[in-house]
Amino acid sequence: MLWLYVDFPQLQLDNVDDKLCEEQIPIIVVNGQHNAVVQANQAAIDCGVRLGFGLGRAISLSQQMQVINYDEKLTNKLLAQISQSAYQVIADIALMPPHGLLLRLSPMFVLYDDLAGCWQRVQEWLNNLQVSYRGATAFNPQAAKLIASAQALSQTQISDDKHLINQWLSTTPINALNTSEKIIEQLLAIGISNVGALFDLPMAQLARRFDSDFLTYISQIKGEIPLAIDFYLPQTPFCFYRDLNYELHTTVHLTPVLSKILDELSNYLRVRDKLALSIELTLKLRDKPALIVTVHSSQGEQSAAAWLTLTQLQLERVELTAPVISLEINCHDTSSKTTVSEDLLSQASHGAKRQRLSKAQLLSLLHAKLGEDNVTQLDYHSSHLPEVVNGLAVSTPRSRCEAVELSSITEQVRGGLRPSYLLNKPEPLTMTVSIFHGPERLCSHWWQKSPVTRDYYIAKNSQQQWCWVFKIPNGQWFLHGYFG
Amino acid sequence: MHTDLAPLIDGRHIWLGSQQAITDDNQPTGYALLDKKLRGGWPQYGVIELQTANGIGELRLLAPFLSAVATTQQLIMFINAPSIINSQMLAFNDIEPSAAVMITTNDDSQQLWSAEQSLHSGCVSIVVLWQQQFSSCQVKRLKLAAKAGRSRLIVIRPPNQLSALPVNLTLALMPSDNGLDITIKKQQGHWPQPMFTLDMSQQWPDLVTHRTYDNVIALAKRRVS
Repeated sequence: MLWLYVDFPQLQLDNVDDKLCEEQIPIIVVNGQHNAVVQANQAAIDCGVRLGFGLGRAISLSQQMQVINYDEKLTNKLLAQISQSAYQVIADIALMPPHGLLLRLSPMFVLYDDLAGCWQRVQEWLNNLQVSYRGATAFNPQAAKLIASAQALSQTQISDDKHLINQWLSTTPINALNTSEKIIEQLLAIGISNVGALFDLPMAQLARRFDSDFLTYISQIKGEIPLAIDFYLPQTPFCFYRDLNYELHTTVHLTPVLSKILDELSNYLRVRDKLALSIELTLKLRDKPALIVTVHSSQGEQSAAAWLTLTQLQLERVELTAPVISLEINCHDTSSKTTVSEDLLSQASHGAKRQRLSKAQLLSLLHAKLGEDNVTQLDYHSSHLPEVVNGLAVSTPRSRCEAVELSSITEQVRGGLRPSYLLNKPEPLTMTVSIFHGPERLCSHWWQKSPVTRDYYIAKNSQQQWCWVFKIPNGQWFLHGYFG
Repeated sequence: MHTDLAPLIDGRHIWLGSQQAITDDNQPTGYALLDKKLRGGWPQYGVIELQTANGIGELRLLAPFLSAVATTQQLIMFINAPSIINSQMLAFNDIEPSAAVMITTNDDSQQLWSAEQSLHSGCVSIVVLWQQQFSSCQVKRLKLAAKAGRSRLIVIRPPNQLSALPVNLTLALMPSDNGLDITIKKQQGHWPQPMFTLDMSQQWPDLVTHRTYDNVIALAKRRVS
C-alpha cells in the first residue's frame, strides 16, 4: 500500500491575502504559548528570521514586521477545506492535524493507471491550492510523514521503488522524528544522527533505554504496527471560511474575495449536480456582532457568476457598522438539478407557450422555501368517510388505502353533495342553523378502531353560510364543513 | 387636435378612451346570466378579485371555471385557504385531486412569493389566494407573472374592501336565497355593473332556500265567496 503524506507547513501564512505578500512585508506567525515563530514568509526570512525564534528577537529584526497569532482552530478549518477539494482527486484521505494530509494512492491506480498518472493529478490539485507544501511517498503512513517533514519547502519525494524509499528513510535526520526533544538529544548523544542508524539498532536494545510510546512509533515507521487512521468523509453542507487579516470598510471591496469562495461553491455544486437555493454569508465585524446576510435564488443557481450578482445586489443594501475582518459562506439549502424536457413539436405548435419549471421543480421549490408540512398535495382515497377520502385518517389500522385517480372515481363512489371546505376536525355546533337537506347516514366500517355513526345534514346559518353538520346517536351536533 | 397634446399622446402619457384595447379572450363562466353581464366570461389570463365571505358559494361560482382550465399537466394552487379543500368536491367537479396543491403559511410575503412562483412557472393553471392586504404594486407583479406563465390568479378577500386594486375584474358577492348577489365593481374595458342576482339552483339544486318545483301547476286565483 503506497501512501502520500502532504504537509502544509505555512497554512495560516498562505491564507493571508496576496495584497500584503505583494508588498514584500515580512510576516511571521507566532505561537504565543511557546513564544516561538512557527511560520515566516520569504520577506521575513530575508530579514534574518528563523523558525523557533522568540517574538522579541524576531520583531527586532525589522520595523515593518507583521505578527499574526497562531490559531489552531483556523488551521484545522483550512485543512478541512483543503481536504474537501482533495476529495475530487483522491478517495482515501485522512486529516493529520495540525497541517498534514495523508492520501492513500494505491486504490487510485485503478483510475489513474500508475503512480505517474496519479501524481500528475495530485500535483495539479496542489498547484491550484496556492499554498506551499512538501510531500513524500512511502509504504506506511508514519514513514511517509517522517520523510515529508524532513523535506524543504515545496520539495517532494515521489516514488514507488522500495529501495529508493528505504534509502530516503535511512538518510532522514534524526531530529525530524515526531518525538520529544529529550529522546532526540539522547539519540544524538550516542552518535545516532539519522534514521538508518536508529533502525540498525536491535529493538531489544532500544526497549531497555526508551519508553513504550517511542518504541511503538519506531515500529509504526518500520510498518510493523499499523497506524489507526480516520478517513475523511465529505461533509454535506457547504461551508467556506476566509480570514481577511485586514479590515474592509466597504462591501464593494468584498467582491474579489467573494468570487473566489463562490467559485468553490460552484465546483461543489457541479460535482454533486445540485442547485443552491440560498446561501448564508456571515460577515464577522470588528467589535460588533456578526452580520448575517441570506441570499435567495428562487429557481436555484449553480454558477458562481449568478451567485455573485445576487450577493452583490443584496450587499448593496447592507450597511456596515464596523469593518469586516472575516467572512464565511454556508449553503444548506440545495435542491437537485432537473431539466424540463419538452416536446419539440408541441412547443412549436403552441408558439409562445413556455414552461419554465416542471411540476416537480415547482413543488420542490415550494417545499424548500416553505417546508414540507406547509405544502400539501391533495389526494383521494376510495372510501365514503370524508376524513379517509382526504387522507386525514386511515381506514385500516395498519395500512393506508391507496390514492386513486379521477378516472376511477365513479358517480356511485362520489355519494351526495360534499362541501368544498372541510374542517380539520369536526367542531361542536354552537350556532343556530336551519336544516334544508338530510339526513345522509355515514357509518365507519366494522374493522375500524373508532366506530362512527353520523347523520349528515345540509344547513344554513345566520351568516347565510351553507354548513355541513352532523348528529351522532347521543344527540350531539357537530359542524364538519362549509359549501363554499 | 391641439398641437401641444400631440407629443403627450405620442409618448403615451395620455390615454384616449378609444385607444383602450379590449381583448375579448374570455372563458365562459358556466352561468348564462354571468356570461352576459361579464360580456363573455372570466378573463382568460390575469387577476380576478372576489370580495366575499367564505362559505356562501364563492367556490361553487368558480367551480366550472376551475374544471375548464384544469389540465392534467398543470397544477391548481390553493394558498392560505380558510380550511382544508375537500378533494371530494374537486372530484365532483371533474378536477384531478392530485393536481391540487394546498399551501398554508401565515407569512404574507411567503404567500405572495409562492403565488408569484406558481404563476410564473408555467405549470400552474390557476392560483386561488385568500389574502386580505395587498398593495397595488404587489398585484401588478402578480399580474405580470400570470401573463408570463399564461396562468390566472383568483384573489379572495373579505367583503367591503375600500381600496381598489389594479386587477382585471372585481366582483363583490353577497349571499342570496337561490345563489349569489353579484356586483361587478370593476371590469377592465367595461363599465361597472350594479348588483344582480345569479340563480345557481340549476347547477346546485340542493343548496337553495326556496325550492321551486317544476311539477306543480299554479292554479288561477279564485275568489272564495
